[in-house]
Amino acid sequence: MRALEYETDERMLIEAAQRDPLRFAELYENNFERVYAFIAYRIRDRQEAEDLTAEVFHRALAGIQRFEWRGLPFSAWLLGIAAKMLADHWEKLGKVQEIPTDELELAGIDAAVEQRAMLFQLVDGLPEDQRKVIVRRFVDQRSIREIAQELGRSEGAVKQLQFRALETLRKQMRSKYV
Amino acid sequence: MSSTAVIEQLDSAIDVLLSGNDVAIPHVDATVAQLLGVAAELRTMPRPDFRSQLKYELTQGAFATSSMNSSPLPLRMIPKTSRIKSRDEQILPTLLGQGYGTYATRRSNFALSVAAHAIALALVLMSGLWMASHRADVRQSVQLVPPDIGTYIPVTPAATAMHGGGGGGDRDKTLAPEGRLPKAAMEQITPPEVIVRNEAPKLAVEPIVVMPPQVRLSSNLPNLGDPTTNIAGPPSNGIGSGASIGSGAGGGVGVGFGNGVGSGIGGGYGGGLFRPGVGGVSAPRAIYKPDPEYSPEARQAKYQGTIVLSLVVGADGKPRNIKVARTLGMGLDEKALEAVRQWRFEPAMKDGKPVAVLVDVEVAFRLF
Repeated sequence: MRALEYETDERMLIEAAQRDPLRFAELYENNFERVYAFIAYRIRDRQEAEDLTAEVFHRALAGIQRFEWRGLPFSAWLLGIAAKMLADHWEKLGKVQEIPTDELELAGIDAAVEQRAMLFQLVDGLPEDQRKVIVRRFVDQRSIREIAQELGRSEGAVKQLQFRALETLRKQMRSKYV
Repeated sequence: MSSTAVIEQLDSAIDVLLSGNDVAIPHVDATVAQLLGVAAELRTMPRPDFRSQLKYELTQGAFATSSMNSSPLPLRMIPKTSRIKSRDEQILPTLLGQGYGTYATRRSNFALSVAAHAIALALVLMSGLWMASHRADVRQSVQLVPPDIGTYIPVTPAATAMHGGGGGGDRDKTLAPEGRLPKAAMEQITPPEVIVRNEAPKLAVEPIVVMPPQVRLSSNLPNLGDPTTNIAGPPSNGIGSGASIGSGAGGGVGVGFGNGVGSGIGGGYGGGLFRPGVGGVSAPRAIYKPDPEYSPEARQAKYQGTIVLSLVVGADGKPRNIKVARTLGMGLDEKALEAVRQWRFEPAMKDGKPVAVLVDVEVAFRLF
């Protein structure tokens, strides 16, 4: 019943975005982490993952009028665009790596991707000091010493925050998936 | 394994993980290994501001699409480099970025806005400084408008409208009978009597009532008496006091007070007080008139107006019987009374003699 409600809501959002492209923002909010995680799972470079994610959404916005509702989640359509873009990307680089789009559509969203998307969302919910340490450490790739200097805390305290943040994320992930 | 050791081991493993050499991660504790799995996933986490920046770009593109109703949005409408915005661009997108929403960057407008605000701020500051340095000039002050009683003085003195009066009596049992008046003059030495108590005075002086000599009250009666009554007799000086005729008090004739005739006060004839401009009575002139203060509540409310006071200016120049004829309220009536009580006048004159007169005084309260 809940899935049906979600499906109906999403369909309404898509139809609203087809009438008024400004409503596309809601579809973007609902699917950003999923698309980014899907791309980042396959491309380990953050800058490239961000560029490709941006392009997926720009294409989706441009092609929203052509979208036809067939009962599949909107994310499947977005991930299909992402898969094609990844294929183009690897082709340019001379690599061959097929993304089975049909399989994606049938199997739904990959569990690992979904898990990663959830993790990225959970980081936003961390306490401010822990979130700051995680962002500095894993996004900006700063050393513990640099973070300690920036935050005005001891290195031991920063390591402690890092440990607590990862522990919190692990527990939250487990509670959601186990 | 102690918690400190776990934390240290985790941090060392993360260092290796971030260096890109996953294989080199040494054997670690089970807890650390689990956390390291989470850390590995976080390596590709998007920048915190990437999500909002991309949304902003999409919104811009969507707006352009909906407003122009054009063909699909060009994919490269916004260059990739624009996605990584500097901190300044985020803070001031209308100056340093690409604009805000549908508004493009127009630095001239921004400069004009800054200049206008700067001028406004300067004016505010300058006015504040001026006010501070000219505090004495801008202090709220009370200006008393000198009472102009000229409007109350008729241009042509009315001969028939006379005021004043007097009364007397000898505390007799009966009222004074009707009779003629004695001689009228502006100065009295001996009051009139119907029954003369001192038959042989050492210095006989003709009895007088204080009244303008030109006033003529006709009576053919031979005896002295009160011309305003219709009592026939018997002879009596009246029930009043003051050794004269009537039921009043003083040296006059009638029911009033004073040396005049009638129901008034102070001399003259006809009731009431002398009025400036009537019967040759001049107007009193204020010679000492301290300004009234403003009441705090009226000042706060910036309340203004004029109060009319009715008062008797005595022959000695002092105000008496001060009453509020037109009120203003908010404590200003009391302030006006307080001030006018201290006033001193050059008394009204009649035939060269100071007389008490009834006047109205306007006290204006103005805030400047």
